[in-house]
Amino acid sequence: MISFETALLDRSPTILGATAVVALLMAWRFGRAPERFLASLLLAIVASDLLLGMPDSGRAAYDRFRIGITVRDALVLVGVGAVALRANRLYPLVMAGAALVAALAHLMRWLELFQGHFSYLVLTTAPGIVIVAAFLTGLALHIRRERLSGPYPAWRETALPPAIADSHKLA
Amino acid sequence: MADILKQTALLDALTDKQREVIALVSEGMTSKEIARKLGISESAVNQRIEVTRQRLGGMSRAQIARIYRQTSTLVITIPTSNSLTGKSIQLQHGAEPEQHSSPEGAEALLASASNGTGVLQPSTFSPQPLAPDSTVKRLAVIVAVAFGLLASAVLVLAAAQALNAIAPK
Repeated sequence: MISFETALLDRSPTILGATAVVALLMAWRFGRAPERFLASLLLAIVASDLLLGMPDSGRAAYDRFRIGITVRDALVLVGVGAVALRANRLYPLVMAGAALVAALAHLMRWLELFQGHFSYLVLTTAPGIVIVAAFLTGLALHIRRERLSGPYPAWRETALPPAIADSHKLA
Repeated sequence: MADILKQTALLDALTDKQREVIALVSEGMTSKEIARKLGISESAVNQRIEVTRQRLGGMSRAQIARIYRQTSTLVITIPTSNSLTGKSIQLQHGAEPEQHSSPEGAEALLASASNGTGVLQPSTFSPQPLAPDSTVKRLAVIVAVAFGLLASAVLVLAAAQALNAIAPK
């Protein structure tokens, strides 16, 4: 039986990669702008794992603070956070929360607030699983909602620029 | 109001398929996107739009979209001093106006509903925004989710550590 650490480090990148590709295809077919952007972001995360040599680094990647992974996770937080604040959706809020956990873990590691290798591993890897799970669940709920109620706005009206929001008013 | 009812009557004369296409046009989708969404050809979409335009007296696509948005649902928001979003009533074509949050009739509400310039604000689409609608509230939810996940992770790690401690070596 494989250990939790092995499952998290060695198997999850492959599973997440395959899931990201499937998610991207479904988002482009059934989703709107927020879904497509988030699916592209998921694929970019997987691609960056390959670039940063994550599958090869394995456990060594979590023995010390790594700037590449930290910058990657910070960019993910910015991207997901922007969609969470502007999109007329709920699931990006969960994704942004998970991305915030990963970013905080990097910050705490950099400040040497905790030294545990396993803790750092869990706090920076598990949010990726939460992000993917939240995206897939949100995408399924979005498809269901559109089928039941018809199309609905992708972006919150209060988040739109005034020129576009004003065009909705009666003359 | 009379103009809106007249325009609604014109839209009511459309077939279901034409209304389906116009609903997506009002959302800002192109003919290609509508065709893909409905599983029909782009030329069929353009044909339905063209027939609708002729029925509505040669109006442009943008005008039809605007009329559809205005006539699908009217939401009148009454600003109140102690709420962020105000109280609202919804008027739907053909239905009796409901009286929410006020003992006055719908006419009195209509008269006082404007924001000083007589501007009514229709909703673009019938579903209301998915709560929360404020940026600050959404930020608070994100932080709350993060702390929830962090607390769960700490519990899991503590449990793993405890199991490790009691496991026979």
